[in-house]
Amino acid sequence: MDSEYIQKVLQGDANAYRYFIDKYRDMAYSLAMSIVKDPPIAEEVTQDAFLRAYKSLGKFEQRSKFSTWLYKIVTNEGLKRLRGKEFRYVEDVGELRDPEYVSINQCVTELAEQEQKYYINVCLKKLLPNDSLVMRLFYLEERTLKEIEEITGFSVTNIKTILHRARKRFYGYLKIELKHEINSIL
Amino acid sequence: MKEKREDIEKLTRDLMKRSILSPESADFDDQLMQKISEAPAPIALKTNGSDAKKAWRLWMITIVFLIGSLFIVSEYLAGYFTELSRMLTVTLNYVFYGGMALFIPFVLFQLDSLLQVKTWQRRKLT
Repeated sequence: MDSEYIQKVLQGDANAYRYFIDKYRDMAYSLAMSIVKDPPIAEEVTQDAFLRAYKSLGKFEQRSKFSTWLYKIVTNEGLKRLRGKEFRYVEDVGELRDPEYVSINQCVTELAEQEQKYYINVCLKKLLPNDSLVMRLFYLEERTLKEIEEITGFSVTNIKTILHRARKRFYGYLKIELKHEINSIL
Repeated sequence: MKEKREDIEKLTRDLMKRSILSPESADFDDQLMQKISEAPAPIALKTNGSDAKKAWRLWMITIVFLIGSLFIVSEYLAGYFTELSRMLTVTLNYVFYGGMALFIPFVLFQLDSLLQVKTWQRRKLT
């Protein structure tokens, strides 16, 4: 389906590009938010990435999926905005035991949908750019490690390390955010 | 142990499904489409990078074969036609140095992609 629309755009139908915007806008924006953490800048990054993809569409060889190529551009645009900045975790989340993961999950699912979304995104925002980026690609977009490697440029070993660290941190932050609710469950 | 880990993976996946965000600006799509309509239309490229690489390889193989065949011919003729052999040796030198002159930019071009500066920069962020 994507390749049909690519052909249409290449034949001069710029409106056909709206198909890609409708289909990939939210995921591209979520990835941009993972990196830059600021809504207006994330919108800029997403727009720049879509525009760059449009201009370079003729060079896209279709060896990978269009989405993989687009997310790679989003990642590059996002990282460009972060150049020179350093990120470190300042808050310690401590160690989590397996039953705690389950109770945190249970606690989140008992919240209203909007609240769930709010808390999940608050915790993702606290993660390092690379951590939240890999988390979204792996769990939300369900990409394989190989695809994440292609999008981010990180090695598979590095991605596994990031995932392990990010998951632990994510649940740690959820535990802090939902302290009272979790205590009532335990 | 493995089952527990799989459960956590599944629970995390379910949680993360709720992390999708949408741009906050109401006119996000219109703004973007405006930019798209103002941008130059993309053109399908007939010659892509891999074709250029194939052409390079073909050139390199041709030069190597040319040098090889000239070397063999000049060696073979050395005892019989000294003058011709000398001329061939000189030609061989020209071809060799010409080949080297083409080969150095080729190596530098390849080296540039091997360095993968962007990947290295990203690793610094992890």
